[in-house]
Amino acid sequence: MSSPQARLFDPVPVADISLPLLVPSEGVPRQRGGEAGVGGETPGAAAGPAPTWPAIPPRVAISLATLAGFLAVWGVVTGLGLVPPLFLPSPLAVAERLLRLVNEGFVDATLAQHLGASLLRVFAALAAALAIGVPAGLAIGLSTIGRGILDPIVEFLRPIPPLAYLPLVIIWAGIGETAKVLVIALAMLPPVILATAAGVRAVDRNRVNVARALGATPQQVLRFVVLPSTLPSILTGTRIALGAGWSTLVAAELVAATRGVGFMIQSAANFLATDVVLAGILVIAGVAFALELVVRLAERVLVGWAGRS
Amino acid sequence: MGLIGLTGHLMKLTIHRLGVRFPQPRGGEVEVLRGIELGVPAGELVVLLGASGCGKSTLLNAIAGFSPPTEGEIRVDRRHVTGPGPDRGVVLQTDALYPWLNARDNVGFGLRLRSIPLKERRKRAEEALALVGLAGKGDHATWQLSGGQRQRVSLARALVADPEILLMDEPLGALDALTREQMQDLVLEVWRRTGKTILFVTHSLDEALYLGSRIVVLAGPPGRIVFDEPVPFARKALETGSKIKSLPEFSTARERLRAVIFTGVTP
Repeated sequence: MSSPQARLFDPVPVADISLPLLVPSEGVPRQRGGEAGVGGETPGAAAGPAPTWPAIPPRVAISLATLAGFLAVWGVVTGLGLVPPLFLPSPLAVAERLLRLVNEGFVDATLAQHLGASLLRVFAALAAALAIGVPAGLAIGLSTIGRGILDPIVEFLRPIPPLAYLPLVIIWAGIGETAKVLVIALAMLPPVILATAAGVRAVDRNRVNVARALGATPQQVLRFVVLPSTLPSILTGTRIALGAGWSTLVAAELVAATRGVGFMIQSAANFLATDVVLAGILVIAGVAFALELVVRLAERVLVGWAGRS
Repeated sequence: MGLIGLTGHLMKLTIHRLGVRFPQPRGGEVEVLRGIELGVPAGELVVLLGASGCGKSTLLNAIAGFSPPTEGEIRVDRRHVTGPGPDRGVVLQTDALYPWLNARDNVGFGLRLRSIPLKERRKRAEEALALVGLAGKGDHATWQLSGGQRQRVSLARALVADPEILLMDEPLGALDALTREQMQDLVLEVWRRTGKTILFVTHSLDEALYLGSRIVVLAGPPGRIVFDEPVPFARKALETGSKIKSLPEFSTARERLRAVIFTGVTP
């Protein structure tokens, strides 16, 4: 009788087991994933003195090692003279050329000017693709009429390589900036439209209904429920569109450009300046990677909730 | 029963000859509800009970205005229901919270739609959170909350818009048994404090008997009302708590209700 365990099995007056009517909230907030240490011990605590630099995750370490290995093979192959420098200059020569591109430039413009021209085209095209693609995607996702009108257009446009319609765009828009931006924008449009439409179709019906029951007008449902729900998809579409845009860049700058990374690579190829070609390719890859990181950061900041609920 | 109930009070909710049929993809239509007559006076907690597929959720959706009735009419006070509106708040089985908003802004969502200033919105949201036992949790992201807490936020979100009728579609169906018991007491407490007219859909006999001031049993398809009686336990539970579940009368009523649902005959 004195032990607290025994009390559970004793007959108790009914009044004793009644609960207060307003019960406190159950449980504590969930821990964010990963914060709770398994076993309560930090890994590596027993492995001796703490390292002075932040630990590199294994996945990143493997990636860095692969990159270093690739550079090493490249260095050895060129160092031993297995491939003539005309076809493959050494990594050092390319790095040196990159530095000179930054300082002196190539074909009347520094690397920053080439890159600025290219980025301007890609971002102008992205702005256009989002301005047209997001409303079009909403129309496809929200209305049968919108889907009926726009679906065939998108499906027609999507599989055509931008190079195929480049001549047509030049006939229509001339050889100025407009044609270049237009070609890049056309390449970016389908991923933005399709991702937006898929996002709209995936909007939880219940979330819409709850808003309607709270008195939301159709415009308010669109603004406060559909658009925020669709934002993760739109950002995914933006990532894919940026990739498509960069791939189209060089082709768009083939025609009557005087600046741009793609144009720089093309001119360098005409002079057989392979080091410039390689440096240009590295710059395109590096900038594309940096943009990818920016969009991922935007995803974390804007739609950090996605995938958690 | 018309606008005036047996007690002479104006009905808060009146449903007359309601029928709902859904068109089938391959032609024809399926009848989900037939000839529903229901009058709910203000302040009642009506539990809609029935087996899966009997049309309880369809009835609630029709009252909420999500799906229009094929025939008949639904009125709140004297107003015809033609679509969703803030006079009828909903709490669904899936909490349907907005994960891009924290708990407080989820609760204040209905006020934001009415362009109520931020300061007042926050104040009223905090009050509603306190009412459901989540005081101080306003800054939490929805994914930091447990299932029961999320459903509390969902309830607070419906309450803050001050609806005349609260429609709850199996709101506790996805919760674990212990949380569910706590939430039942919370629903009773909210009912006592706010005096709202509540329609509560469930397929749990115990929950129906414990919460309802009146139980309406639907059978179908096509769904129709086969039982409609007042229940004494909910009002008692407000005074004495969950111990009424172990009263012999409760067990007797449970068996009787079970017979109604499975045989459609009132013993």
